[in-house]
Amino acid sequence: MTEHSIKRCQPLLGTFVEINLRGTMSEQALIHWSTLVFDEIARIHQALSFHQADSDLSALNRALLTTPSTAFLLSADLANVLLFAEELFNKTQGYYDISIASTLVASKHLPDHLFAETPLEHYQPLGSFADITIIDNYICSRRPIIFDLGGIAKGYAVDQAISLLPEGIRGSVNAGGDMRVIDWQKQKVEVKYSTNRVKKITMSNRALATSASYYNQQGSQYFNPKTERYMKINGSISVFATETMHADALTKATLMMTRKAAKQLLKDYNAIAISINRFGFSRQLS
Amino acid sequence: MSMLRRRFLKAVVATAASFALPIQVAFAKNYLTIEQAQKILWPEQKLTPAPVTLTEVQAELIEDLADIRVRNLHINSWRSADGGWFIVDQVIGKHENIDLAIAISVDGKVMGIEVLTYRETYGDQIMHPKWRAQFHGKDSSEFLKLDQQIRNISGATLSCRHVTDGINRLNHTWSTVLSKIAI
Repeated sequence: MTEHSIKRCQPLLGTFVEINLRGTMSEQALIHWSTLVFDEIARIHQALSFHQADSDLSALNRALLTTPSTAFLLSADLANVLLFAEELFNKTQGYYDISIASTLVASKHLPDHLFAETPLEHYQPLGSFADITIIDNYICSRRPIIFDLGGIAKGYAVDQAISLLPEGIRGSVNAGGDMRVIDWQKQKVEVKYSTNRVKKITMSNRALATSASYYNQQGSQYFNPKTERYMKINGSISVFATETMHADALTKATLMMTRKAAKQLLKDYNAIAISINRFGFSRQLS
Repeated sequence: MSMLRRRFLKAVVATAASFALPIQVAFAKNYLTIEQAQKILWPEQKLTPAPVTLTEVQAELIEDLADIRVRNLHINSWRSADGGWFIVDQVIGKHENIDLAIAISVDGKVMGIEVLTYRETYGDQIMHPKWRAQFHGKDSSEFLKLDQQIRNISGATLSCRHVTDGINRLNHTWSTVLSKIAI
């Protein structure tokens, strides 16, 4: 049997999801596997989307707003992502906090469908992730709170989808910059550090994510919960890790923390961060 | 004096670096061919070319309903045996120019969307001959060679809002025009 390859791209997760697959199998088989990957990403997007009012995440957000102290049973996907978010909240002493969603709603970076009937102000003071308790997949909060999973949901979707592929298939899944490369060793990737500039770097782990703010004309949407300020990012920051979900979250955590603390955090996840400034000079942090 | 010189040298290095080091992005990525997209979106269905040209009145109606400009009156469409549609369309965004294929069932449901070609456009690259070549059909072998390799790019998330708008326009095209065409 000869080797075939397939390259597909679909608008999903609010961005473009690109799948490149290669293997010694028919093109038909590769189409089948790539469709499976797209379907899994679409399924997770449906479940973990902040924007969609009928997602599992929106159901959780409504519950945590109106009856925060009542235990809510998490779906397997929500539990996986929230347990990681909790771990990172603790490891970053609160720098990584997915409950900043309320601030992003107030600044119109996120839609306000959760507050169609009762305005956001009604629920003040809102909690932070420190108010959350997760035990045996049940979640409750001391104060009203909402989450936006943003990038980690995207990373999680990539990880879950790629885990469905059988051995023998090589290639990559790239969801708007959050990517996993199966045969990553010695592969080069390009990192976009401004709207029209890229730099080639060598993969140093199977997952990569990049954060930057060049597409956002309305201003940065990276909010630092400790300083309560939006951050400006010059250039970009990329993280290599074993999981795309980790890589995505670590780009944001690394941006906010001191160099020393970020180094320790990256070490805990066996990750490497590379920052590229607006002139294209890169610097490794690991 | 030496501080001034150092500052001057720094400025020179920074200016030179900003010209010399960066690679300009001028890329297009080709994913599926039209034939491959047809096989994926309408498996086991025979597709017959069925191009449609909108009248000015129809285009205006679609523009009003979808709140999006209709740039092209000509619809590059195929018909499946059971009355569904396969359409190849172009979406032009702020920085992107995308060819996409969409399948719409006989009752107007979007069955699938595939991006066929994705081009990023920036003012300063439009003058580049290789860049321009891609718009004159796919016969620029030099350009296609450039695209043989799989380029994986990581960066800040690019929104697909323009594609969503384009799909909305095609949905309204179906409901106002295509749905009324007999098989």
